[in-house]
This record gives sequence, structure tokens and C-alpha cells, in this order.
Amino acid sequence: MGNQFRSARTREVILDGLLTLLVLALAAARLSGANWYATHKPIGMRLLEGWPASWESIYFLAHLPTFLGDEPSRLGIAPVDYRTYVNLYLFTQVYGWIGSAYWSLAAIDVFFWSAGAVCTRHLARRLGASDSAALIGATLVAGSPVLISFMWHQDLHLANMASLPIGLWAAAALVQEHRSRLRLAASLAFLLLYLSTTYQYQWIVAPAALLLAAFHPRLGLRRGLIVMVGAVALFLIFTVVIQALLSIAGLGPQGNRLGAVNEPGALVSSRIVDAGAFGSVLAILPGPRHLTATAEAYHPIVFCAGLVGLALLGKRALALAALALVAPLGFMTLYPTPWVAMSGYPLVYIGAGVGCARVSTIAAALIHRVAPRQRFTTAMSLVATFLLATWLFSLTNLDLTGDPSFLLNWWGLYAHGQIH
Amino acid sequence: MRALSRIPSRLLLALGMALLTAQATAVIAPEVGWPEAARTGVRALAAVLLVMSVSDLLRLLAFPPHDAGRTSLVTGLTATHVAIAGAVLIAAALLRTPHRAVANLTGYALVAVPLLWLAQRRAGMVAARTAAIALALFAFFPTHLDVSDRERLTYAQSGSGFRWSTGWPTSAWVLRHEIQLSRPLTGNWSIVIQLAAPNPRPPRILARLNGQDAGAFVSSSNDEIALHLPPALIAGQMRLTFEFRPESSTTDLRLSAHRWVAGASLGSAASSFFDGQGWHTGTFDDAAGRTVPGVYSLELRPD
Repeated sequence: MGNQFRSARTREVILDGLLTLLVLALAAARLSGANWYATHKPIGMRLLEGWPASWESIYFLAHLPTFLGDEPSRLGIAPVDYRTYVNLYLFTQVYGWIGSAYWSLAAIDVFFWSAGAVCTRHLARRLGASDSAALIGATLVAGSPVLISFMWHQDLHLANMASLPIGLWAAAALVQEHRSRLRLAASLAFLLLYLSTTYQYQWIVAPAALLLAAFHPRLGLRRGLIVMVGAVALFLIFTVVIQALLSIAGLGPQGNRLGAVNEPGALVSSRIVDAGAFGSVLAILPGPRHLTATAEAYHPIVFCAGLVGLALLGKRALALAALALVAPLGFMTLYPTPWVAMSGYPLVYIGAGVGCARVSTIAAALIHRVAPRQRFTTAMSLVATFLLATWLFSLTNLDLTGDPSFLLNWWGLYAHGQIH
Repeated sequence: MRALSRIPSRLLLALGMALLTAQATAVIAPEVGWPEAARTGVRALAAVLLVMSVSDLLRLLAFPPHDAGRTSLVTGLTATHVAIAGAVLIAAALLRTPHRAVANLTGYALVAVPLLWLAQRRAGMVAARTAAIALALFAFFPTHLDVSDRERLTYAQSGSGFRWSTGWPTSAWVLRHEIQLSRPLTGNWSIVIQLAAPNPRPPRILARLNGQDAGAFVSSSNDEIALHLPPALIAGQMRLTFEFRPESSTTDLRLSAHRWVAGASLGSAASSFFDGQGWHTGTFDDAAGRTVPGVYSLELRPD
């Protein structure tokens, strides 16, 4: 029993280690070769300690004295800083150790990117995906445009996108392993707080946690709703306390950084005001172009594979899939960017992994009919899975072979018009 | 019992590392002076201790011990005790700057809670306590620093493999950039060039477009010059060939060039230069004095 446990652990460690190595390899390939942002908008690039970084790295660099300097802070913690507070804090601490701003930013980026891939694999297992489907889903996350496009960009979204799979996995683990509803509410509140200080995925993870609770046999929808209302209330209290603390310490938002990011509430209200009272509802409803842009952000084939795979995972995954599809479409009407379109990306990639695994199972069954030898069938099934996963992976990573069309199209969903 | 038997060896190892560091500090002190040697020594020792705790933590997370659920056998300290002690140490070290103490303690708490939860649920209390030690060490060490604000970003660097400066070494030089469009151009457009360093009053640069005078660039920001393209010259065009040269015979103005050619419509063939004798594809890193494959940092932007 002990040996079995240990070998299972070893296998887990090896798989997570391989995902980390894949992330490192992809990052290294993009540093020396196709840097996505630099290829799309080279004029936005600068050099930091002789290495390429976008001009937006100034948002992080300017805060080194806030965390590591004795002079009073000039900047304070504006919304742009608060929504990446954890990453900002970790960046400054790593800088304190190694003295290189560039490699501190890169270390945080790679660390969370790896953590995002690993968490996707564990989330997939919790949602009922097979081992191979979970691994394919995590591999697709590691090669996902939403993570690759920001590597070496060093912008104000440093490692932010990786917090979604981390948050979804943590929410699933908390809900599935909870022992008391009070503690669950408190834990989820802290998770939402963590997500609000690593980006804005609390607004995706909160409804996802509610869905997970609704499908949990000991919670159900009514109790899950009570837990989530408590969690959100506590999260808001935590937020107010932290912001008050920062403000009292002289770190309230100051200067021209206040308008650097769009706040969801302000976006909704401005959209309604712009549209007028009569057209306000229609104005914030997504249309076909938002759906098209979402499919393009993933790559249409990957997107379709993801949705099909999620449908195969059962009711709970289907409910999460609906969330992964509908919520980003809603956000897209307010802030149409490819990374917002991909606000359900761990689930879509898990679905794609499940789809791959299912196709290879069907292929294996067909092969078995023609050549009924178990070893041959297993080998062919593995080959089919590998080829299919590699194909999906390659659709968005062709820049590694010198074809930048997908990356240019992906960034073009955010900003187009410049030609060089 | 395994935990008990392991602790003394870890302490001995740490003590040994401290002695080695002290000796190394004494060795380098005559050369760099005692204050610098002491700083280096403390930094090295702290790094060794951090690496030890992180490697311990990774080992525990990967292969949790069978007694994962037990409290600490040695000191009775839990992860929470260690984390709070770390916070107190950080607060004490940063009392001189309250704003910095608040900023750091907030970050410390936001990292500590999920880290300890993760370590605890994965590998038990021993791992959680090790995680708390590693985090406290990680967050406490930088408290002695005093980092000031300074300009860290540059536009170009001589000899860089990523971005470099280019210009007109003699009056005979001409820089050329070609853009191939996917459909005929309509509307109003400007060409924007990035400078190699901020220059609020750059000298005038003249442009020719498809063999005709297109006018002179004006400063559009601290680090860019722009030229509004005459609509008559661009209407219906599918290919734009720009040639740039300074108005005066000598200029110290430098432009940015870079290596990322995949996004340029004509790839690595988009930029070229004339050095008085012939045309050469690529760019000329004037500070390094050599031709470098790449393109000029410029954009065609809709007005």
C-alpha cells in the first residue's frame, strides 16, 4: 500500500515537473526567438538591463522604492497596482535577493505560468477527466496564447492570467474538501481576496465556486448560495480593511496611474450612460462578433474541441462550461481584448484534453476491430492521442516555426491598424 | 522520530555554513572593506539558508512524510507561530518607514495564508512550518535594503541583440523602409519613427515616399517623430517605399532598430540603408559600427 502511494506520488511529481519543464522550454524559445508582443508591436518595446521588455514594465519598476526604499512613496497603490499586489510584492522581494529587475519579473512570470499549468491538471482530475485528458489540457494551457503572449512582455499583467487556473483549482479543492460551511465561507473569501490582488478573476471564480457547491452532495444550491454570499461579503470587508490600511499608511492612490486600468463597475456604468436608458440592456449584451472573437482568441478548432470535451464531462462540467463561455462574452462587450475573451481558458483547455482522449479511445476501438491485439491497440491509441494533442498545441504555436500569423491575429484582436 | 533525528543535522549544516561564510567574509574583507564583506557574507548565508528551506519544502511537498498530520515534535511551534514571528521581525526591521512596513506586511500576509494552506493540505504541519520559515526568511532579508527610484528602461543599446541605434554617419547615407499592404490604402495615415533616446527637439528628418517628397517629420512625443502622409501620395497604394535623410548635412539623431522582423510586412527585407556606395539590406548599428539583420522601429498608423 505504502509503495503504491509512493509510486503514485512519484508519478504526480514527474508529471508536474514535466509541465514546469515545458513552460521553461517555451519561455526560453520565446526569449531568443518569437517574442509575441515584440513581434506585434516592436515600437512598444524597451530594454531593461539590456533585455527586452515592454514600456509597461515601468508600472512594476516604479514600485521598487515603495517596497524596498526608505523614502516616502511617490505613487501609492493605485487600482492598477492593487489588482496585481501579490505579484508586485513578490517581484520586489525577489529583486531584493538577486538585484536584477528583469530576471525578477521573469522568475515571477515563469513560476505562476508553471503553477497555472500544474493547477489545470489537478483541476481537470477533480472535474472527472482522465489522467491523459488532464495532462493534455494542462499542456495546452502551458502553450496557451493567453500565457505565452505575456511572457517577456513584463507589463502590468505580469503573470496575472495564470491566477485563473490556480483560483479555480483552489475553489474546487476547498468546496470538495470542506468540513464546515463557516470555514468554507472564510476560505473562499480569502481566495477571492487573493484573486483580486493577482488580477480580477474573483468575478469568474465566485460563480464557479457556487456551481461547484451546487453540485456538491453535502451543500447543494441553497446552502452553496448562503456560503457564497457570506464569502463575498467577507471578501468585500477584507478589501475595505486592506485599502483603508494602505490609505492610512500614506499609500493611497496618487498621480496619473489612476486611469491606467478600467474598473468593471465604471465600465458597465459608462456603457449604460453612453447607450442611454432605452438601449442600455442591448448595449451590454454580447453579439456574434464577440463569439467569433472568442473562438479566434483560442483558435476555432481548439475552442470547438474544448466545448465538445466539456459536454462529455457531465452536468457539472457543462455548467462550468456555460460559465466559461457566457461570462467572457459579457466581459467582452465592456473590454474587448483576447485575454478577456479567454476568461474561461482552463475549462476550455480541459475540455479540449477530454475531447482528444475521447477521440483516441474511439480510434482505439476501431483499430481493435481491425487488428484485435491489445498491445497494438494500446500503442496506436497512445500515438493517436499524442498526434492529436500535438496538432492542437501547434495551431497556436506556429510562431516557433517562423509563422507569426496566429500571434499577429491574436494581438490584432486587441489593437489593429498599425502596420510596420 | 524521523523529524527529531533530522533537525540536529539541519542545524549543524546551517552552523557549518555560517562558519564557512564567516571565514569567506574574513578572506575578502582586506580587499573590499569590512562593511561590504559583511554585507556579502550575510547575503550569502541568507541565500544558503533560504535554499535549504525551499529545498526542504519542495521535498516535503513532493513526498509528504507518513507523520504529515503531526505537530512539530521539536519545538512545539506551528506554522502560524513561525509566520507571525516572521511578521513581527519584518515589522520591527521596518519601523523606520511605516508605509513600507504596511506595504510589505500586507504582501507577506497575502502570500503566507495560501502558501501555508497549500503546504498543510498537501504535506502536513511539518511542511507548513518549513514553508513559513522559508517565507519569513525570504521576506525578512530585503528589509535592510534602501532602493531608490531611477530610470531603468532604455530604448536601444550598442551591440544589443534586441534593440540598437541607427543613424546617418555621413551626409551620403539614406535609410529605407518598405511596407507591403494587403489591400490598397485609403484614408489618412502617419508614419511614426521611434528615436533611440528621448529628444524633445529633434533635428528635421525629410522623407520621400515612392520616389516623391513627402515632407518633414515633426516631434510627436518625447521619443517619437511623425509625418502625416499626403493623402494624394498614398491613395490606392499597395506598396510604400520610404527613404529618410536629415535636413542638415550632419546630425546626431539616432533611431531605434530591432531584431523582431516577423511582424514586418516584408520581414527581414523591409529595412535597408545606403552608405554612399550601395544599398545594404538590414540596419547599421552605428555605435558598434556593423550591419545587423533587423528593421527600423516604425509604424504606419491611422490618423
